[in-house]
Amino acid sequence: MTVRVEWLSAAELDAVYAEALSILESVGMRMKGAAVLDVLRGAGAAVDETGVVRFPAELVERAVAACPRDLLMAGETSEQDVVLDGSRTFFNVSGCAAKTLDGATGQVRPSTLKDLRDGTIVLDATPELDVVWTFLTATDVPLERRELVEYYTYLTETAKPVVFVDCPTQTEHVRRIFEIASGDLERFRARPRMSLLCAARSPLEVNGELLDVAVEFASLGAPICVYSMPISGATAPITPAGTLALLWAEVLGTITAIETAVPGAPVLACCGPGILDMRYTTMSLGNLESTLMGAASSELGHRLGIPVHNSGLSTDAKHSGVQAGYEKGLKLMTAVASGADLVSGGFGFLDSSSTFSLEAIPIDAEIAAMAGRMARGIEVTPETLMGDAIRRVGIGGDFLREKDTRTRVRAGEHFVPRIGSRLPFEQWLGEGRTEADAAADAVRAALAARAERGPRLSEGQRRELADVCGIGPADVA
Amino acid sequence: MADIYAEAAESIVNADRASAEEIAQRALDSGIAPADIMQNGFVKGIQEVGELFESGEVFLPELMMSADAMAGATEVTNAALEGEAAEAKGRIVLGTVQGDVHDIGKAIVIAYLKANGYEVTDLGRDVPAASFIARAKEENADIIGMSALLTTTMEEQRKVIKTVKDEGLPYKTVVGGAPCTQRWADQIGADAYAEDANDGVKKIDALLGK
Repeated sequence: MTVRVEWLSAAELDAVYAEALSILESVGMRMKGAAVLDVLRGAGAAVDETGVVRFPAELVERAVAACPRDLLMAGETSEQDVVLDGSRTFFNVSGCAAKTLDGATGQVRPSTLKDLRDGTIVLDATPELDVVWTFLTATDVPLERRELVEYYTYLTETAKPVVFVDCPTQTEHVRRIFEIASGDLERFRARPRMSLLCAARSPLEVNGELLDVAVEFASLGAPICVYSMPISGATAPITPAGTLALLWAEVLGTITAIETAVPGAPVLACCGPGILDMRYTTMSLGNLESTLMGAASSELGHRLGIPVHNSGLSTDAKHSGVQAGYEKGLKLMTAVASGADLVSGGFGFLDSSSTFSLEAIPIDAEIAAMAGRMARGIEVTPETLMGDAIRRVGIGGDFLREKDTRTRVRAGEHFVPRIGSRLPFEQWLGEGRTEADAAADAVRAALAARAERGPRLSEGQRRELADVCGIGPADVA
Repeated sequence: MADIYAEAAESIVNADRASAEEIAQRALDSGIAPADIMQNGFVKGIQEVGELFESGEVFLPELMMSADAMAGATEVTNAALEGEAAEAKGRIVLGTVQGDVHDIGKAIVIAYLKANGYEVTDLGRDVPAASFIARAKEENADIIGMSALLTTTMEEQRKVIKTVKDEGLPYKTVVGGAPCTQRWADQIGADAYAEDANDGVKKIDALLGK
């Protein structure tokens, strides 16, 4: 069995959807400068001279019907493939930060190419992490070279599916990257190694150039992560229900533009609402209202037949301490129990996804593993009821010497933490190790393994990629 | 008569724009100079709001409404100056850098700076580096304020600051936005980093010796 929790009733979900459709029809979305406006106009949308598109409900519903329910994000091999088909939750990192919590000094500093490289290596080595969004900015690489150097680093350090979070400025280079990574564009279409994130600007705007890039990539078969990140009380209404209505208007408006231009394009509804903390004027992602809105979004997306992402691992904590633990735990369990297809927030991220910490990755992996185990629930079969064993052991016996105990322990019947400690107290005290020490060990092990293994992709692929991305000696480890 | 100054301050603390406008007009009608009722009445109010915000007793929506009440009082007193603008504490040009279109934080900061006596020119969003410099020259600004919300656009702040330094221009530079930190500000040579609207006012006051 799989655990599912219901947050909104069917009637409540329909009410949110109806409000979103009404917003799109009466207010619309500004998509100024997008070439796709002509396509939308031709399909029956009203487009005014300022680039505001008003969508008839039937156009949106046609687009929703065209969305494939299952979505493939391909890895370097099928072993790393992620298929979002509603059967389980997959996990992601977050993006895109410019600050790193330095594990050695404890200081927050601008992020570097080395941070990005090390982070990708550790994420690649983390079994619980499935997808790598472009998560960090190499602030030490000159801006004019940065985008391509970053792409090279991601693709040569992870075999997992990659999502470009920021809009590429050099789309010709990106097409070439698709070809190199997959062999050719036909193989890329069959197994898309890279996806693109297309984010709205709340309330109710999307950059026209970004939208056109999304349509271009969608036409090549790249999944598009259609992202809405409204902030309750600032760029969205103060209520979670109102924010949900606005969020889904933005998601559906953007999806409609993409599906009208490229019917059947794989899209992921990415729901990452935040709130504006009115006391500290900070944007919060680790709060409970965002958790609820994410859960409700999973329900609505699935009701519409669209795979859904939410930022279920976010925390407002500035370090991997108590706050990070309870916020990530509560949020992630909610997201997984709601059936979110992909959860970000994400591995290694702190301070509302603005700061990256290498040492937080193994800790987040543990939280994800625990949430995943909880979501699998309890398997009830004649074998697992173990009636024969209970009768055999009888009254006052023990089950330690049962063969099933031994084989099922080895098969993972009970979740075994890698970071958390279950040592007896005196032993724990004597070892003098904390969760942070265990996490640091995991990081060191991942980096050492990479040093021995070498980079990802074939030598030929790396050479071609280096050529396209203008890689110099300073850009590689 | 002393009560009218307290009333003025209270109208700002209560975020009551209608009341602030009425009190401002009543003060002027009774012969109180515009600068007097502003400095000894309304400004005291906005300063108290700032302290209440810092201590957590006032939240952002109330801060914004107080700033709005201050704008109302300022409109009334400025109108009485018969074409002479009230002397501002300083002149600021402020915008969101090129490639970036987030502006809600900027809007909050601008409203609060104005409420605290600064003349602020809102340059809008997606502002090229050269435009910050050109508008600072045009407005005879004291401060160039730059907001960036994206990690990819923060570099624009560095560009503006480099131009100010290379050309020996007289402007102080202040940066802000979610990905910015004090360390980033130090790295790019900004004169100040503003963590939020209230912090922005304090840092700019300090830069200009107010």
